Amino acid sequence: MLFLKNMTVFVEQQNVVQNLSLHVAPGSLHVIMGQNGSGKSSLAHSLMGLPAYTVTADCMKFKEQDLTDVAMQDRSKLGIFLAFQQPLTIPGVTVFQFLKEIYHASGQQLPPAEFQQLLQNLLEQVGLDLLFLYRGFNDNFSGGEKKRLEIVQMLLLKPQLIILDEIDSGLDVDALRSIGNCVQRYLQEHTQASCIVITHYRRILDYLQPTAVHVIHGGTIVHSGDAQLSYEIEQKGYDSYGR
Amino acid sequence: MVDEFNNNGDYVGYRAAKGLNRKIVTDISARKNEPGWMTDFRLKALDIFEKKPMPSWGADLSDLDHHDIHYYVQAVQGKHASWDNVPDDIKVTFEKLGIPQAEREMLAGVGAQFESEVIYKRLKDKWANKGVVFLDTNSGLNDYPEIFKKYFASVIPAHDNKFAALNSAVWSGGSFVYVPAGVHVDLPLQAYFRIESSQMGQFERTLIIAEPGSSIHYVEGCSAPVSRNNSLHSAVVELVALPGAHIRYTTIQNWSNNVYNLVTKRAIAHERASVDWVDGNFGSKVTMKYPCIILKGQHSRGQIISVAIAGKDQQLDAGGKIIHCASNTTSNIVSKSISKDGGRTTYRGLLKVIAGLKNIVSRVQCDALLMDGHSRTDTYPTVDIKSDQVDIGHEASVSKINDEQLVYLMARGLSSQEAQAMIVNGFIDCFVKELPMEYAIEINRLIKMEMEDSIG
Repeated sequence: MLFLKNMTVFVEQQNVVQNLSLHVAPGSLHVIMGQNGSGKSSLAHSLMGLPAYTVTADCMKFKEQDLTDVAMQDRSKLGIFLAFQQPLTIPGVTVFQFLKEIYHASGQQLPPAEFQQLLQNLLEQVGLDLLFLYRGFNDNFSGGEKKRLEIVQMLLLKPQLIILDEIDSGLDVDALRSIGNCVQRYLQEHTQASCIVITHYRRILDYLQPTAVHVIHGGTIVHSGDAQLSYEIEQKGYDSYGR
Repeated sequence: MVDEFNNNGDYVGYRAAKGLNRKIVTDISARKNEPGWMTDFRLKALDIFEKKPMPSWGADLSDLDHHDIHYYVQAVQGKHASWDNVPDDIKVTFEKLGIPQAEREMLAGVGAQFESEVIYKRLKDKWANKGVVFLDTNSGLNDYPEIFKKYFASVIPAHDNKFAALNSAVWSGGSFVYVPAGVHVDLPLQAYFRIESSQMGQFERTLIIAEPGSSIHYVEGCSAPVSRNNSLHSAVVELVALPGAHIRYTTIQNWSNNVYNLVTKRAIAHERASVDWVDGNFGSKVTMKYPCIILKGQHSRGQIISVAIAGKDQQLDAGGKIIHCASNTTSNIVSKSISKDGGRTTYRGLLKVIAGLKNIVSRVQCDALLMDGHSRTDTYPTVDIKSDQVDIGHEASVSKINDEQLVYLMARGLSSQEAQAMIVNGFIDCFVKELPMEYAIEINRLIKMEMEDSIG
């Protein structure tokens, strides 16, 4: 699915990721945990192809395709989805208009009534009221509502590789459970889809079944293990994993 | 005045020689069999036009050559004899804008085979039964001379400004609308006028009179680009909203890039009347347009909502003017402008409250969006308030297109142009909301096209 070998990333002349290697098999769920400034978000952004990031790697392949020169809108079309840590507001554009546009951009089409039904269904899944469809996109949404809307987009675009960048930050327990369950259900229903969960805390893992847990420090993976590792990190703190 | 024939010897129309003089103005008036007072009015206006200097403020008009213009052109037929002769780029534009085939043919000047004409005729009859008059302005003068004379140039006199004087001297075409007391024209008058307006001349003159307690929504123009052989378009639009009447005047105009669009629009709102100008300005080389509302009667209300988009080599100098002349009046101006590819937009507004008035409420909001670093926007809001019992709010903002928003949208699979179009459509949403549905859809598409055509 995703194969990274010695990936190095610069942003504004700063080296934020160095020599990072990671292999994400189809149907797997990888958790990347680390402190602030450890390179977590930079990794997420460079996988999505955000233009501020300069990436070099011995290998950066998604489904056997070299991603190096693929623009972010094309990565989206290939099936990569990034749930942003801080989703943007688009004033004057309703949630409905937004979702319709990105749905069309992904090459999918549905008759209006069926599309409406689909959106209703997706909003229900994440616990958002239907009226959200007619509000400005993320306009005066709470942190939790924005994150739920990220998940709606994920469900709509049906990605192959999901990257959740601190989806759990700013969420209360109910929102966390709802989002965690949505992601887990999606992965169960799409057995070939993979997910990278980037987080500080292990609490979202209560709802997910990780294949592997990695500790990132100084822009590279310094330790890997199974789900048990997340409990150890919680007890020992990140410092003990620093190089 | 030269009669013109095509190669087959068919009569196709007539046009005045280039430039302007008393002979041409007298000829125009004679050609239309106008009463003496109108001929005199035109000639006086010509004197005023010749004496008034070019405006020393606003957009650059130095390339405009008054002597190189035909001031009167009357075509019998459209430019293109059949749809096959319409240039491909225009066909593609119609396609992209989603304009129905029948209307496309009319807009391209193909001719009168408009299938829906019967329907429009029926609508026209329905209004006629209620006493609604709605004619081209020359016919209005002919058929309703008394009411015409009473209101014509009562809102915008010939000496108002140089281009109002020019229009007064050479006006031709436009619409004359009269709504009797208490009649509500519930359907926006766009379907019919949308077709007719495409064939209007460049000096059209529109006069709308809404008698007490009546209401009307008039729509002019459409989102398809309108090309003119002549580069000067100078219209005058006068609205009279008598006590308790409501007039809404919606304009969507998309001029080709050689046009100077210098338009004077003004409304008078009598007691408890309300007027809305909804004004969308696209295309043109230079636009200078500041719809105005004079709140003459107590409890009258005025609203001006406008959008201007300037691209490469374009200058759109637009805004709105409200003059409070009575107590207990309210006004609202919302102006949105977008500059891209080195284009230049200017907001020029006036909010005036005369002395001694009470209970005045006004809100002015002007927002400018810059799509790149080499485009430009300026704001000149003039506020002249001679009364202290006023509640005035003024907000202005200039923002550059937000790269983070673009990145977010592109990460969702939108192209750079689609992402820009979405942000711009969101920015002008408060304008689009005011439009009839089919126009709103066209505008969203027009914005997409504008962004696709952007450089870089």
